[in-house]
Amino acid sequence: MMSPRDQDRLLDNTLVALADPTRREILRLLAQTDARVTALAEPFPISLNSISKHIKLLERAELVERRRVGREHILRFRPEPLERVREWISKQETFWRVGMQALDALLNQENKTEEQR
Amino acid sequence: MDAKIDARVSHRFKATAEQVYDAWLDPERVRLWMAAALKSFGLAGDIQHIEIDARAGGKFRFSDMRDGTVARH
Repeated sequence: MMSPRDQDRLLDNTLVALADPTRREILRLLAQTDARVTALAEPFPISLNSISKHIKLLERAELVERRRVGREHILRFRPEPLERVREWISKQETFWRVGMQALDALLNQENKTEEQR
Repeated sequence: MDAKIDARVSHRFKATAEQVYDAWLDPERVRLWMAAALKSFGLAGDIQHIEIDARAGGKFRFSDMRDGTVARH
């Protein structure tokens, strides 16, 4: 079980990792199939070095996992952090929905009490 | 990097706009609805302190108990 602080850090890393079109494109490709770093970099008009930096950010967010097969590095997409982002967003929605429903109910209660007087 | 994020919440109230506006700025009513919202987070919703200074340039502050410590917002 991760501490709340570690959970926060991972959420930060995930949101940062997602906040870039190149990294989202990398994730889209890896979601279709695992790939070697060199093969993955091919369709991109930027250097292998830049792609490596993007991959590092995705690994830090635990969105991409790297395994070594001989001299090859194979990358794989891991969807779990996306689930955590979805949960976080859903919690914010619930907070405000429940809060506003409670305020609504409170005001209706007050109006009813007023009418009864 | 532009760190500005626009977040919107909408809810249609049965009460009048005046009532909602007054309630929005009233610490005792804020305590009630916010406690319900905090409970939806799995928190105790034990709100300690609410301060609302509804003026241009004013401040709002509130705090609730979480695991025996005061969380200030």
